[in-house]
Amino acid sequence: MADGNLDQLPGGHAGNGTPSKQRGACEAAPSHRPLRTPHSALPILAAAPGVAEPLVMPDLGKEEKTAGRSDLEPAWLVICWDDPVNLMDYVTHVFQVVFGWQKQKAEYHMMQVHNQGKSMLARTTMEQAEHYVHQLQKYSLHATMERES
Amino acid sequence: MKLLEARPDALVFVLGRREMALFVNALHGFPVTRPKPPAVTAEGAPPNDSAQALLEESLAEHKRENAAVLRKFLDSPDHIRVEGTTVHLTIPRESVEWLLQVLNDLRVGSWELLGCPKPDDVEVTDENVLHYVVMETCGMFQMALLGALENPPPDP
Repeated sequence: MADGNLDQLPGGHAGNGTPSKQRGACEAAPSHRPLRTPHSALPILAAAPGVAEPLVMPDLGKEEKTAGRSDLEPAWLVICWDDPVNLMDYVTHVFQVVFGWQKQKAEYHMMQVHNQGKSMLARTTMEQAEHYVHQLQKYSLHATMERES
Repeated sequence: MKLLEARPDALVFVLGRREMALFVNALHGFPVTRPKPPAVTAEGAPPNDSAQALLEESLAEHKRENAAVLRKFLDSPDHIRVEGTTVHLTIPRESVEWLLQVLNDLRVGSWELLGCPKPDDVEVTDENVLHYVVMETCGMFQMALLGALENPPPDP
């Protein structure tokens, strides 16, 4: 995979700089902690002298975690490919506009396209990946999407 | 093409008359019919017919919209004003993005019509010289526009 250093960038992975109107699908969905009855809560000290009410201790046992939406859905990768015709400044500009990235991050990915032949720009849902590919191709960049293996 | 003024609402460029003729003639070539349509998946990847159809439909619609906006732009006296031996070209800031898209469509389309050559391998002939001129002209204007965007609008 071409993009192994995304986490080293300011702003983290490819979806972090996305404007709010586009960023929903790129972010990990919040993990939903179900409300539940504390089944392991034990009334203790009920028989202790001077204690009228049983004391319920908080449940400190292992919490059940529900998988977030992003853990369940297969991820799609948005990839931009190198070509000898698109100008470097233009590609940087398009990345800034489409993903809402700062110039430094956009330039990083542009250079990755230039030097390595391609760059993975986003890991997201199929619908959002399609959206990004459409946007990038409207600027005539060579962008495709593929299912994460 | 030089930036004359970066106004809050628009970028104003000054061009020679021949330069302006080159610019307008290049724009009249939009949209370019590409030899092969852009693909939604990489070459060799299994095709996704519905996604590919959706992409082609979306791009075709987008080009139609850009072509309509371009016609309006070129017909408007507000954007092109002759000043002696030069021409003042006023590009509203909200028009920069579609103009960049139009210019790059022309550039990439011309490059494909040239046979997708590497920069040093372009063999210019009588038959393909127009594609070459359009490709280079559009690149030059793209760079001028991108350079102008580096100038933030002045404080009110």
